[in-house]
Amino acid sequence: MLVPLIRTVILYTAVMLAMRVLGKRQIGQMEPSDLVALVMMTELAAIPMQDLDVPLTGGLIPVVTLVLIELILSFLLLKKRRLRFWLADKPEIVIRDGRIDRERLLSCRISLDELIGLLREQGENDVTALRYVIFEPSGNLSVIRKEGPEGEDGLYHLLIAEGEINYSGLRAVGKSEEWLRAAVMERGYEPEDIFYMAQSDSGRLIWQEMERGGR
Amino acid sequence: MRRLGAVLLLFAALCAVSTIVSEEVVRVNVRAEAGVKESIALAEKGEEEEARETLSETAALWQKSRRFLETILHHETIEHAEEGFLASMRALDVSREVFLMEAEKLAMTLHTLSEGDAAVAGNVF
Repeated sequence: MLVPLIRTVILYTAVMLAMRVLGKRQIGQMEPSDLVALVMMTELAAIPMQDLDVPLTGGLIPVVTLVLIELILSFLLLKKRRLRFWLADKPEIVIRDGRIDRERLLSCRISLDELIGLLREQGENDVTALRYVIFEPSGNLSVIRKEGPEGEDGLYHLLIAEGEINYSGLRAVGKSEEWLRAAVMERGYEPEDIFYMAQSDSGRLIWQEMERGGR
Repeated sequence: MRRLGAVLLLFAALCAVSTIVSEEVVRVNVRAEAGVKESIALAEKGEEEEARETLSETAALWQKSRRFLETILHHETIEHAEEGFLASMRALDVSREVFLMEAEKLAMTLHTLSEGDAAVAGNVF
């Protein structure tokens, strides 16, 4: 009786430590890779807890391996935007200027009923009053109304992230790379010196330099 | 990048430790299997006393690694091998044929133990 008790304490501590190291948030905010790691970790820890024939290392080694893989993946995703493009979900605009984009709904595998329900949860009943509704990778909706300062500026499109030009953002604002380089140089920087630069639908440009705080 | 480097280093260390441990499991069981086979060869030549001595030494050496093996392999399999050693020792007092049968079974069990943790494609898939 004492052995399963000790094993449970050890494995529970190991999984809790693993979750602490990974810095997990709420289930709803997890990326798919986080969720896979969490489910696998709990399953792996449960086997040696129940089956005393399985050595403790049979549960601990896979948990440690999962933690390390998760850490490597998250560091790579932070550093390599191109990798993030392939491995992580992207936000999708499902409502634009009060019109629901049916194609985007299908690609997000979200039904109209679900969308309406999620909007109701945000206190939004009138779709036509919304400028943008974005389906975030976390599964939540971001709502930008037509009225108010947010609605006037519209959506901010990312042009530079961590010194790298974001070409999809440039396409969204209908500008060229030459325009962006000129806009950056006008402010005395190179694109590599910019940590964050975005332009709103209204044309407002905001940015922050790489090291010290900016605009 | 320093953090990524540190995590990659930890991962490499885990891989290295796992490889060393797997190699040690293979070494312990291959050595024991060789000892049992030597004992079988001696018994076949009619040298029962030498066969008993070799088997006894092999069993003692394998027992020394038992605690280590228990942290890596299924306990049931280890107990199976331990029973095999005891059965083979007892069989030497009964008859050579019974001993040969029991020792062959033991050699097979040790062979399975040595192969079970080896990093080969057959075990991975």
